[in-house]
Amino acid sequence: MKREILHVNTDDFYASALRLRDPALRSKALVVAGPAPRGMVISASYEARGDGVCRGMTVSSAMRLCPGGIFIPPDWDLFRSVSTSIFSVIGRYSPVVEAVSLDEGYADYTGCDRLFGHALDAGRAIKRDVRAETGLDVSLGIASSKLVSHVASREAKRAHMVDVYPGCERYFLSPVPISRFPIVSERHVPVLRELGITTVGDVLRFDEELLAFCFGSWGRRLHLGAKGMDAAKVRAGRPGDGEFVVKKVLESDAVDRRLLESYIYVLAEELGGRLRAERSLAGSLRFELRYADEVTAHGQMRPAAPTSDDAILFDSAGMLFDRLFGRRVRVRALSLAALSVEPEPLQLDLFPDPAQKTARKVRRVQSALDRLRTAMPAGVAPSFGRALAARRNAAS
Amino acid sequence: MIRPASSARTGRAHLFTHLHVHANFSMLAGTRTVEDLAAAAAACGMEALALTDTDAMHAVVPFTEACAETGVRPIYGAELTGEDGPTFLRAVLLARNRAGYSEISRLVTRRHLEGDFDFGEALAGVSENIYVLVSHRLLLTRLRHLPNLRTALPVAPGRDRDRERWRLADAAQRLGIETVAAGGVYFLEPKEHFVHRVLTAVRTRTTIGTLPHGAAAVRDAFFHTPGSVMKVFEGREGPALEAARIAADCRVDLDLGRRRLPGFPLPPGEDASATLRRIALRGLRERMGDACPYVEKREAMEKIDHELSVIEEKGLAGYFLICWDIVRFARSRGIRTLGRGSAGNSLVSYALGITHFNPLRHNMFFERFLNPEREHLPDFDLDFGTDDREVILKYIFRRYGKDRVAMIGTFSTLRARAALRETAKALGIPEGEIRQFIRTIPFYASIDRLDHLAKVSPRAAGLPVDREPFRTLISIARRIGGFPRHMATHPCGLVVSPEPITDLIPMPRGDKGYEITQWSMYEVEGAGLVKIDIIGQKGLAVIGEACEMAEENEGRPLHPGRIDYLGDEKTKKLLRTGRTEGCFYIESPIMMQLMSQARCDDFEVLTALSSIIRPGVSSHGGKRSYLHRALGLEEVPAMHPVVAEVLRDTYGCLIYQEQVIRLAVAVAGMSYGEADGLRRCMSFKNIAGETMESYREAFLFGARGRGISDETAGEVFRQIAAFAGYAFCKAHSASFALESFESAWWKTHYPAEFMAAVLSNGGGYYGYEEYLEEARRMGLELLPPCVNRSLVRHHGRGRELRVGLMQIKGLTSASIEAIVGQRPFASLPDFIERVPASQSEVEALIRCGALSCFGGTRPELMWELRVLKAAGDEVEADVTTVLGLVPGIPDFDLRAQLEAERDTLDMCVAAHPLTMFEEALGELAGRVRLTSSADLNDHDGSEVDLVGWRVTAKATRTSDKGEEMIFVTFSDTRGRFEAIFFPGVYRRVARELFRARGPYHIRGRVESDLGAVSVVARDVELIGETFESGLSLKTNPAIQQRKQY
Repeated sequence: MKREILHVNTDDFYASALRLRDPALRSKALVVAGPAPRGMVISASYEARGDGVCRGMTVSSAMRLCPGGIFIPPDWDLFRSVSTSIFSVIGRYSPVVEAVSLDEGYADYTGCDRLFGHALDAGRAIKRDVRAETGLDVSLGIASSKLVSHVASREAKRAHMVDVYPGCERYFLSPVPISRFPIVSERHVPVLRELGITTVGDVLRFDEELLAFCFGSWGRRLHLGAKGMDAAKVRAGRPGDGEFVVKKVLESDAVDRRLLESYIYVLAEELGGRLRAERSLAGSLRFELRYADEVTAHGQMRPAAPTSDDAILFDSAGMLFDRLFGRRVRVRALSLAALSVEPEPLQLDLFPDPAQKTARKVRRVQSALDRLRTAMPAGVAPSFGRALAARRNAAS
Repeated sequence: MIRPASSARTGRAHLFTHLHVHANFSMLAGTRTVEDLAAAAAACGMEALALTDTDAMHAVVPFTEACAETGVRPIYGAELTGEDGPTFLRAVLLARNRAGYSEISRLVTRRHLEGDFDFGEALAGVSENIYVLVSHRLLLTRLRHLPNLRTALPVAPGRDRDRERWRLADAAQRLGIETVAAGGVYFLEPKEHFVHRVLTAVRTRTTIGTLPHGAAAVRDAFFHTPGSVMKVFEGREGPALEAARIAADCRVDLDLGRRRLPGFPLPPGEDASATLRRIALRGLRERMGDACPYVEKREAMEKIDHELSVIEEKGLAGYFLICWDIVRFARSRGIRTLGRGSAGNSLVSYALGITHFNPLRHNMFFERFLNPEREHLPDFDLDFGTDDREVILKYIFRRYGKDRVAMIGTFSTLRARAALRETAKALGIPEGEIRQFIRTIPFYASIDRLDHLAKVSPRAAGLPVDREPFRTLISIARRIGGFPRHMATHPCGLVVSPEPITDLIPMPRGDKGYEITQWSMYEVEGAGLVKIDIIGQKGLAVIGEACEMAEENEGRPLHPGRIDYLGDEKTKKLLRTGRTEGCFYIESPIMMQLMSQARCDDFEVLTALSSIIRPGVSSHGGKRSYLHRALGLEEVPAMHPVVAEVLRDTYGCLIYQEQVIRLAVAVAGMSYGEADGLRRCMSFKNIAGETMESYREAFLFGARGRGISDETAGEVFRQIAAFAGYAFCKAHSASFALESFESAWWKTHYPAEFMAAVLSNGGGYYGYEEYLEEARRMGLELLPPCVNRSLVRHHGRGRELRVGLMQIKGLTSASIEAIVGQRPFASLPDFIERVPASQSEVEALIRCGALSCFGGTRPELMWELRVLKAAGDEVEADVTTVLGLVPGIPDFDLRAQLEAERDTLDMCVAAHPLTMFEEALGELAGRVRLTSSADLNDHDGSEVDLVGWRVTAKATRTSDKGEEMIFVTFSDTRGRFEAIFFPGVYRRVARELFRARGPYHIRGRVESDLGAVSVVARDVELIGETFESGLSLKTNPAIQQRKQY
């Protein structure tokens, strides 16, 4: 069956959402960013982008470039609710919707034409409904693959729609600058330029075997992609579905090791609580450290056995922290994620050994604490806190 | 501050003395200066105070001075550190007498020089002339045989400290060692612990939150008052009294005022003065030649006789002979030398071959260099080519003994920007944030004036001085600003001593590999030691290299010593037109403009111009007056005949330091000693803090006695006072002018060789890019680097200049050696097989065109490289098959080529950098009528639009309101031009002007002054895509690496 994939991209999502809340912001240069001066620009409206403001730049730099701009802190609740509305509209036209981020996603329209007509009509209907229900404009790319539909929606920027006919993919992609090809990361662009590849079409001047020889599987994927071939499926869901991630953005950037460790044990307890609530165990842990200059360092490790024990989680996170915290820069945020999550076994040993007995006792204490934490307001609930750190120090 | 009340209250506080004290010369640990510490000790009623910096005796002289000022007796010592296996140990050593002092100095030297310094063994051998204070039990056990070993007990109050005291006292008792109260002092007040932690974080390259265990001193390591210490030891005062007893026993007289003049090794029975006389007279005869008129010879003989008698009287014959010996050695090796500084005033220096112009012919003044009343020792400044300097230094160390020769050390201090940057790192502020903060602060700014700066400087406008974390940052940086951070080798100072230097000054090894003194220049000179400046100078290196290259190209010797540089007409023309970029000392935009305005083609005028661009002269309008009077546009004003006579050669303008001495003698009847004092007072070397005002009265009084009115004398003195600053002495200017002439000669006659040499030696005032543009403007053909043709350094021949391999960023010296040793190469595979270069190195070679000699375009070569690297050990046949798949690809277009060259070479070889922006410039040309820099003369007084690439910028202040303005030099495809941004405009465009090197669209009015045109800018804007702000020669690591060739 002929595949039809829609890529939906909301134009100027963050600024538009804020303008919905406050129409007085219309046609003004808006910059959504954390608090000045250390905050980073999350998004800039087209007007602000015209002055050179772009995502990831510090607020102080953005203010210099766009002195007349309006700087607004992000309202994540608003963004999430607008995003949910958009995806619920898209969901009406396709059973499989993959939200890549708050403002863009894919919908697999394959076979849906019997219900809603030609994909172009469905696209128009989505644009119309989104506009009617949220007041926002979306750009749409329609093609036979995720890759081409993505490029198509980029080409359709600003409330337009591009439908790439099957078989015409390589002609459509040919003039597209290589820097705008999703397969190609920023780091690859200068490399490809030096090899004489400046547009997607240039890729096809080279033999697939040559690309594969020099760049491995990525080279082959690039060659296939340039021809418009991409077999990736649309996977239903939203980013972060089924993840066990706890994060802490510090009130103010900190460099004090002891203070940071105290945050880590709060994170470990929070993650442990979540895992236990879902009766799950973490097979491995991922710890991420975000410095004040937005540089991130992350590491992963596997505890001796899958666990939801706060102390073991803290030990692992602490070890990762020691390994990662090497720069002379304050830390802005910490995050701890449980990976390879598996359900907790229900079957108990008939004749448990003493260690298992102890573990079971600890488990009971933790369950009791979890219940208390659920019942009591945040900050009041008891926590092992420093005791975990003390235990770790004693062990080391 | 410490309150003396505590001592008054207990009545016995003066008994205790701190014996373990660190000043800020315990680098990046101590938080106070020796002056602060001495004042604190005096305020507490302490009779003495010890200074025990860690492995250092840097501050002996300032400590002695500070103690003398506060009436506290100095106790000299050091804290010696070392390892015993994994254990880090430290001991405090205090000198009981002069012999003990020398012993400590030698121990500190050993600590620095011996890689396997055995701490225990070194301490085990100390004599009874030293007190050793230790608080480590292992060390106490090992050293218990020492007669003056003491167990140091902490002096801070508190239960933890009580326990520590009890434990140590117990151990001491069991070992039979006496105890003494001696806790380490790192700061004066408890709250300074934070500053100490910041310093420790800077030292250990960590942050205040992640200091390594034990790196920082404990919270209570502050200056406890004697009262509080006595209270701690109440009831068992023994240790505190022992501290007082030790303090009373340590008495050292360093005899710092004594002169320590070096002797020249002579055969037995020979006298230095007689030898000097013999050599000088012989040298004078050779220099003057037989054709010299009798009158001149007689005058010279009288003069040299006078000078020799002064030298003899001062006991400086040995010193002169040493300098003569160094120059003689250099000449024997064919090394170029230039004696500069005030030594040029001396005929003896000329006769000895140290300086190269006859002071009699140029009306020099010996008394500026040396006079019977001069207290300070004169110093010789000897210049050599940068690479030759090493040869000379090795010779001096070998000839005069390693223990008696040392390079002078210098303290690298935390200046405003460094203090801010280091504090920021210690506080964990991200590099990007601090870079942005610091880049807006001019290099000359002081931290104390940042608030003010934010208001007055256009570049610093909006500096967030009141916002966190910058507020804390500034307050800490202010506190540690000016602190020494490490010891480095003085760029040129060398000391030759008659006795082993370590008897007085410890000698660690400096960053350049030579032993250096732990004292800085002023302290070394203050201790009566003689300094010789051995300077590595690029100008001489350039001339030397250009000469060698030209001789090689022509296949014949050129005999540079016989060339008449000063009389060459072509060289004079070059100077008159101000096209002297690359020439020693006369290449700055302002100097080139000055030369073209003054139509300078004469040695005397060039000497004067070299002096009048100095701030001292220009600040009192001397520059303009000299220029106008020299060109006959202004009359020389009437002045007192005495003054007129002194200033005759310079059209009544005061431009040389010699003239100050002469005026003081002639107008005020001062002695040479007094006049020289006045001269030194106005120089930047005035460290005694004397002010000009202190001389004013004496000056006026003397003038009255000679019948000169107060008004005239006052005006003369005003001119002298305004002159205070950095004016040259005439001899120094003349030395420079001589070299400038020489380098201009080489630029005129061997342009390709000269410009290649300039580039190879790292340029001077400008960056590489500008020198290459100058070569292009000179009509030279610029050739990119090539692995089969380029040498390591840049090479010029005829009208061609080939970029050297040293210019390629990231190319290691091993790769360069392999390229030069293995070539020629036939193809890329051949190259890769024989040169062990990394992929990124080969990529850089391809990018800059160094491999284009293999045929194929850059993209094709890139593919070939990718395939070859991906193939690894694959069968050759397979690789050949894959290589056959690479299609023909066109080469980089001009823009890409220039970008690649700029990226890999820091300069554009193929065309001017503006060529990269043809599209944007074309678009601009469609809107406005663009004028080229070469046509500016035709637009005098008109408004013009220009495009330019920023070459250099020099900020200055207006004389009336002190507002900041800036002179910017731009270049375009046909030449270069100066743009002046007056304060109003500069304030508006400051940020825009420094966003990138270009391309800029400049709009302004053309103005001409004495034939030199410049643009008074009204507006400036960056057009097209921008590059990062220009690479600085000083900060680019790739360029640092290039220096090794």
